[in-house]
Amino acid sequence: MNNLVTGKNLVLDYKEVRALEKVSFSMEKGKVYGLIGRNGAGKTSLLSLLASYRKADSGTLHVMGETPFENARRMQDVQLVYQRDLSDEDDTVQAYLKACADFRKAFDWKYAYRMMDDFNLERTWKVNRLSRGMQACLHVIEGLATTSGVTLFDEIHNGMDAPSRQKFYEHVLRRQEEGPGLIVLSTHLISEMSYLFDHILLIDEGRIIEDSDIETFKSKSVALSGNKDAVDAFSKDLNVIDERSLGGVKSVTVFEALSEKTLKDAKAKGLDITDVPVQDVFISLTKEKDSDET
Amino acid sequence: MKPRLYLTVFKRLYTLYSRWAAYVLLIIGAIYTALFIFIPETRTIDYALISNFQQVPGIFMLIVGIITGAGMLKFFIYHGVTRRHFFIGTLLSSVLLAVSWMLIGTVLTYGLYGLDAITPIDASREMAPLAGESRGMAVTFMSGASTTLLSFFVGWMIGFGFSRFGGYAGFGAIAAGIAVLGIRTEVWDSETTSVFNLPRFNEVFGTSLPLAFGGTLALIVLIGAALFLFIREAPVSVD
Repeated sequence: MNNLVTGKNLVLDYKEVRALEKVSFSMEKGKVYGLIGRNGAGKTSLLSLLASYRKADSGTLHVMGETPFENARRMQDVQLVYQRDLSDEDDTVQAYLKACADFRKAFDWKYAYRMMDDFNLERTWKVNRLSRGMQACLHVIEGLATTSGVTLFDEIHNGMDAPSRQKFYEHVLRRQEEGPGLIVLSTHLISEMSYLFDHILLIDEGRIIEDSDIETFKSKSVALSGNKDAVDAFSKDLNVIDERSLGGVKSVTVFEALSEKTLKDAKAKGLDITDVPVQDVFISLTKEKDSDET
Repeated sequence: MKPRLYLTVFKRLYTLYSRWAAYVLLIIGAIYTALFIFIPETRTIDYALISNFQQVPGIFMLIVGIITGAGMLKFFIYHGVTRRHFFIGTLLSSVLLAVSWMLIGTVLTYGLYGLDAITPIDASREMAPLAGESRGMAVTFMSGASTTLLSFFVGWMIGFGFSRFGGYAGFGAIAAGIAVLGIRTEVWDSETTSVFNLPRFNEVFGTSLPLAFGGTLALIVLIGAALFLFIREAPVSVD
């Protein structure tokens, strides 16, 4: 069985606010998951459940076949890495990572040193004197050097410069090839990171509104453009998530799997068919409802 | 698999808090040395090191308890430690820390006894409260360790109250903490004054060492049990 994580009908409430509404999903080993959604959509809440920061109000969650909350073995298998405030941390980089290694069963020092070299991070530097971007690099090292079964990165790249982010992405791909676990990247930098994803979980208002592998996701996202009347006629029965008009020309974004025959028909009617970037689909799928009405 | 994560928690906390305790002792030592050298009037029992030393462990443990309650759970959850292991590790470290304070006091006491002949300090008088002229060394040690440990648990309760439940519960925890420390003072100290003209504990029950010791342990168990019940499913925020 390849599923490392399964969640069924997970509900999480913060007092009167429902953060997650009957969320169900599964995650397979060896994959990189993109957890995408707007601010407040429920991404961090979902990660909190996976890492046992919180207990679901209802529903079932299994990590490697067991409930993770207060389960010593399973909590060791899940690591949630986020940008913690390290201003009070007066240890050196080496001592900081030693503390991480003390707690985690499989901390790969060799790989940690390799990443330190890549990020130009000296072992003797004081952690609280690192810039925000360098602290983010340290978090990345902490996450990827620990060969947990499930590694969760929550907006970890904030503050990192472009070259460091690129190195982070390279290490994610390397770890995915080498490691037996899975990696979840919660992010807003969709256009930059979408090539890393094997699978997308799109969450909005506490619900997972899209759960598909990246190829399926991309194949479902197409833009049809051409004469306004022709586009309207062709797309009237399709799942249109965005539309734009300029003069007599119209473009619509369709989010559904179109058959070869349908695509041929579109071409025959003079419509242009183009791919849509993942980020544009995300924006269209999660835009506020009132903006649809205006 | 790390076989005993609570031992890792214990080691981490005990090392950290011992380091803080060493800083505190160094600062206090430096202050008293300076006073002793430069202000001859301070070479009296009122200003002597050991007389005032008794206050230090209680205050230190109260503050450390507050810090533990306010932020340590998040740190250990981050590293994949269960709440149960966090609780056991913290309990072990606090017990050893309380005992360590008493050991430090004992070493200082007998160290100063040894220095009696070569310093102007009247050590035999000044050591009395800690060495236990009236109660005996072992009893003084046990009572000191238990009351110091109680201070830690009161601090833990206050810190956790604020961090888990916010302002009102936090202030409620402070009120409860003051009440607990008041009871502690009442059962151990025969010199306490009456509040609102109520009969004092010692006037009602009489001064009883087993009662004082048992009462202190009961308070520790009570607070510890309440903390465990709240901590075992406590949510932790990601921020």
